[in-house]
Amino acid sequence: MRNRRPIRDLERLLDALESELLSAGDDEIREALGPRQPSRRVIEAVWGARSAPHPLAWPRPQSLAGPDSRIH
Amino acid sequence: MEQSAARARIALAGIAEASRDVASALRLLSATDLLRLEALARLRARGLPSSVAWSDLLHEAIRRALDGSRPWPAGVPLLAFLAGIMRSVRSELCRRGAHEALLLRTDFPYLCGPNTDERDPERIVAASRAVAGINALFAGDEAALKVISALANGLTAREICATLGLSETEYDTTRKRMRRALLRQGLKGREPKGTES
Repeated sequence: MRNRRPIRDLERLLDALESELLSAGDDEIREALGPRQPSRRVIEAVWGARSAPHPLAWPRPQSLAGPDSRIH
Repeated sequence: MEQSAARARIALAGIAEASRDVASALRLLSATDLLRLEALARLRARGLPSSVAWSDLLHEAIRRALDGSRPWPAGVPLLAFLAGIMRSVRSELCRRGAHEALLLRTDFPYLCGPNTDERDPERIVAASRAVAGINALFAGDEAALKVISALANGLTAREICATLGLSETEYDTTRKRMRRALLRQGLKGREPKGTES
């Protein structure tokens, strides 16, 4: 097997940075982003879920729906 | 028969209750929470095939949270819960990609070149690019890069300070600078074709 280190490095890096994002204070986020508002896509994702008629009817994103329609 | 129907009713009631909890918590998210959620999703989508957008990861995480396929553990904040699901979805996608690469190599070895030991080379290239992209977010800030690398290697704050010769204040300031860059630069980026906002 050839060098798979970049994959491991990336996953560790993502875990560390995720932890940083989760630990950032709200005031820190506001200070970093100023008047920036959430994007349309994040609002759609959350508001779509807020108004979904039933969770099981929630459509799956096309790119994640494989031939078996569910990720195993 | 009646017993299994009752069990199914109980299970469905459980799902409905869990979905109500998640839906209620989603309703309470502030604009700042949404920005944080977007930054988390964009981060987790790094290195994935371009056909998978960060918003796809987010949609899938919300779907799993709502339908109860991922139960929300007590005491875990909603954003940490959703971040955990996005991590799982990413990992499943990577496994699926590796499996498909293996099948391709087995069925069509002549398409895969002489390095028959090489597994999912596209993923390795994508990961290298993603690591370079992340490092570029902190370009010019050597201290931040060193702290990130140390955090990624699992070092504690005390170990990082000792290794890099930082005081506690310098360490905190560096992390704050790093988070600011991650938020500012990490929220910039390409939207999937045809979906730009």
